[in-house]
Amino acid sequence: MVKPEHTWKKLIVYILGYFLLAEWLLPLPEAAGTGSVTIFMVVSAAFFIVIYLRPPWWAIIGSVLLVILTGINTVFYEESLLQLSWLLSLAAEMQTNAGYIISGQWYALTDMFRSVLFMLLLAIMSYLIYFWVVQSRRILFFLTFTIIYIGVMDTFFEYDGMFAIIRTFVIGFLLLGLLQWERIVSRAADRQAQRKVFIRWTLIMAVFLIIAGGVGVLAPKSEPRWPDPVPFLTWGESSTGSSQGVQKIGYDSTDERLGGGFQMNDMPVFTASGDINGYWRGEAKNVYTGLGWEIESPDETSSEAGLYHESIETEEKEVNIEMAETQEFDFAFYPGSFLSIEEDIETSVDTWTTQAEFETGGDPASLTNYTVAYATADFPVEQMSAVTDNSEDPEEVTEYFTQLPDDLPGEIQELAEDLTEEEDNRYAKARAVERYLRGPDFSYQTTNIPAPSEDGDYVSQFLFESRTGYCDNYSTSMAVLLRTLDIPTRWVKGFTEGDQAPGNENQVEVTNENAHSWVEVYFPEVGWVPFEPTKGFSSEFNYTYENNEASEEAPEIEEEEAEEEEAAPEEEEAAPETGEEGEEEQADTSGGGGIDWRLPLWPFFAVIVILLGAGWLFRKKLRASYLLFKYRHMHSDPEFQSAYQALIRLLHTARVKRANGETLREFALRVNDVYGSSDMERLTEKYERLYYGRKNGDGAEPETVAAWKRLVKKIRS
Amino acid sequence: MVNEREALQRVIENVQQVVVGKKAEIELSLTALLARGHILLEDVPGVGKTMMVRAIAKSIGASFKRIQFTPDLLPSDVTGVSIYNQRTMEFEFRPGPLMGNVLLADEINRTSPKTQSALLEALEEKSVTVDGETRSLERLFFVMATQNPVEYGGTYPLPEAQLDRFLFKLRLGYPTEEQEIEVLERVEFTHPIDELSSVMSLEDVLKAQELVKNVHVDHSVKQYIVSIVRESRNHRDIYLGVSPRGSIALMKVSQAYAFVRGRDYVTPDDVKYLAPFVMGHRLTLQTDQQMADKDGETVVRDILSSVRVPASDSDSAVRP
Repeated sequence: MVKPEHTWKKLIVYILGYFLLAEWLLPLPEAAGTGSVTIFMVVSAAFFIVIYLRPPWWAIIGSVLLVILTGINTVFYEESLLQLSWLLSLAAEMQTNAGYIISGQWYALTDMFRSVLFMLLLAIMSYLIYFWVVQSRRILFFLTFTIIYIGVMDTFFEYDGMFAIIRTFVIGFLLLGLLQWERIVSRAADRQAQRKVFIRWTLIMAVFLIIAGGVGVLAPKSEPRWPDPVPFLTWGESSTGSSQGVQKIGYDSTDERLGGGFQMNDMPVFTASGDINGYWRGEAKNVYTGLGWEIESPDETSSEAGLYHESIETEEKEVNIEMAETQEFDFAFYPGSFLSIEEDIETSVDTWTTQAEFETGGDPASLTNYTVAYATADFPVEQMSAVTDNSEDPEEVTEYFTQLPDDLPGEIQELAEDLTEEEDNRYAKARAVERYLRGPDFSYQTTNIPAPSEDGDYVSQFLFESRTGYCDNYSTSMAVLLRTLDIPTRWVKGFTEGDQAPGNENQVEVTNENAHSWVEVYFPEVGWVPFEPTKGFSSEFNYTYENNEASEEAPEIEEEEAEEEEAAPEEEEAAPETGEEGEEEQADTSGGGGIDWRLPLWPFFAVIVILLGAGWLFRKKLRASYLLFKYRHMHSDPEFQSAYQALIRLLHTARVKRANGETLREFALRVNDVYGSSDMERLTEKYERLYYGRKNGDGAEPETVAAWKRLVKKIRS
Repeated sequence: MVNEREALQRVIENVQQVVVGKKAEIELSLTALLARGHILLEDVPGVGKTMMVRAIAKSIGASFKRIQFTPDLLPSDVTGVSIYNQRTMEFEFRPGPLMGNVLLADEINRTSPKTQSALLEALEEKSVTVDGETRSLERLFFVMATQNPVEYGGTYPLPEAQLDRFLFKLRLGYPTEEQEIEVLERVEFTHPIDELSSVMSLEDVLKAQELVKNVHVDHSVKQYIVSIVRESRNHRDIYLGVSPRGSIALMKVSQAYAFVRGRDYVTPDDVKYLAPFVMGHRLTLQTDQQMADKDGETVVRDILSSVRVPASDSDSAVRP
């Protein structure tokens, strides 16, 4: 192989090649949980330097091994590199892992061994890039793969590939341009002119890249055609914040953008003991924006929540709440309607959001343990059914709780009118909508839930497109549907009751998984009445009938409903249900499997695929090099004949194929045309004499051998 | 052998002095001569057919005869006739034109089938029988028959069985513009044929004919010939394919051609080059193809483009 001359231009392209390889390493922490990317970067840089210096092959192998050993030592051992003990331990490690490999226990391979393998792969990749960039002056293949890789990383893992793509774009195209230049000048003659043109070429290229890159970054981009596929794949879990698309369940104060799937998270929030009574309220929100909920109300507070009208029969209860560690909220969670708090702290309840805020000296404060006094109410169905229009609603209620966005799709109102066509009162209408949402048209699911685009509508997307979702979808939809009928509603968020502590009926543990949202509808003379439109959740609100018979009937219906719905999510999600009745938990399916994808095993497959691809792409070169090696000492006629036939097959690989009716001579002339030499004809003449003439030639003369080698090299390049 | 080959090259050069730019046809004619075959030239009058034959004859020092075939020509006009000599009181044989070395049979399709077959039998048997006496022809006997493809009125087209007694069917075709100017310049003062001298002896030609038989035909090349011929029997455009006589002809011609080209072995290129000339007139096309004005040569070239040329042992199926 002819060693190319090293110039500073080659050094530049080679360094750019290194940057491309680095782009492969950068996503590893997010994607594979690899801790020490830096060490891999340094190791591959070392490989690049070694290979660039082109020492003899034994020195390359030696240096590569040395680099790997140093790398492993740095990451896994505290002892100095020169001490013998760690080497022995390493040797033992290698031996164990070799055993695993032989017995096919891939998952048992230790991190250290994987790191060794990974570094070996990096060494191979370094050589490959050297080969691509410096020898064959081609990079498109690797560049394409890099971009695909970053795309995949960005899509399937919590890796933000935006800048990686920009970097790759700039580096890659710079490389392409420089390599193209190299190829052009390899044909030109005038060195002096070259230099000038090179500078111009580079400048033009850089300007174009900057313009193109800038326009690309700034230009408006359409939203992805498909929803983020990540919810399909729950593996690759990571603890670094949430990115767009995937949320974590839990209590969050902002609901401006709803939608998307979420991951389950069973972090405890608080433990409550005392009178447990249904859902825990955090706050209510009143403004639906089309994408989520916001608060827009006057800053008015009072000492009690005052959810229920004075005329409603209430019962006072008490519950003690102990917040879990790391959970800090500057407001109280409470069931029913907030009355007071036992602790000596200022509390004020926002009249509109019903949030019970703690304050000390005017500043928000948080409590780790508090006892809340609250009121529970029975909601008289007859009285609620008597409400037929909104004439009796207080003005403020109408003002703050019937708002809808101007661009709300009309189909929502049409649907609401259809659903409540036969109902004549507010209670029946609310029930009709609740029934519809809990009905068979919708299914409960926490993953693979789309989020609306900037100009889309969350409710319309759920009602008419996806029809699958979780509490936010159901509660928001019900609130909005009723609002289209001018019924005042608000969206309440908090937690479901929680899991009963073992052996203690009066104690529950509330975790992030219990986070929930539901709806309240306003009834004059009654107050805010909660409804539970979410499929699979059972409401424990007390609706009472004056008539006793009816009163017994109603809970029955609720129970049946609850049972049905309890079963439904199990079927849908095939996840074990360990929560309380009506509450569910989706197990992280990736956790239980035998494969732990978090260890860097998949890069091997990726690299193997690349190597195979490269092997296939460069099969012509590989074959040619192999032939040159195989027939390097060709002497006799049979050897020549076999070498000639191999040449024909090589040409076939190089897409110069002998057609069916084509004689060797015709083929040779064609080959001569393609490669611009007369070698093939000369070789063919000799072969014809040997093969058709059955002559004993005088062996492969030096000229023939030279012609053959010349041609094979030409085909290779 | 080297001498004969050099002599052949001289003959080609010699003939080219008279016939401008027809090297391939000249080579083919010599090939037929060496393969002891005969040529059917199908072309319009005036393109130099006669000149070429005369030049070949003159270059090898052979006697040249010519018969202009007409409808009233009798077989005896061709073979010769015995005439009663009153002085010697005996029948005396007056040899016809067949008794020469090189014969130009002009417009062979104008004469009656009886006369045609008298000639063609002579071609095959290399002898003529007149009045019960068999007389063998000259050892070197080469016929070049012509027929005019344009004027078919009052002609007797040669039957298939007689067509394949010709080794080749050739066309000369019109010269190119430059060639035609060259022709004019050459004949401006004297005709070059008059100045032509013999460059190869008849003996050398006969010797060369013997040497051609030694040209090696490899098994793979025989396989190739047979593949082509067999394909002609299966081709959908062909009604009647090439007979084994055609296979033999193709092989012999290839040997002769390899010899002319200075090789002592036949390559598939030789076969491929010659096949259209050898096979074209030996096959009968389907009626629809005839109607479509397709000719044999085109179909043969079509066959050649699909038959795999053996180039290594893995290509040819069986080896001895």
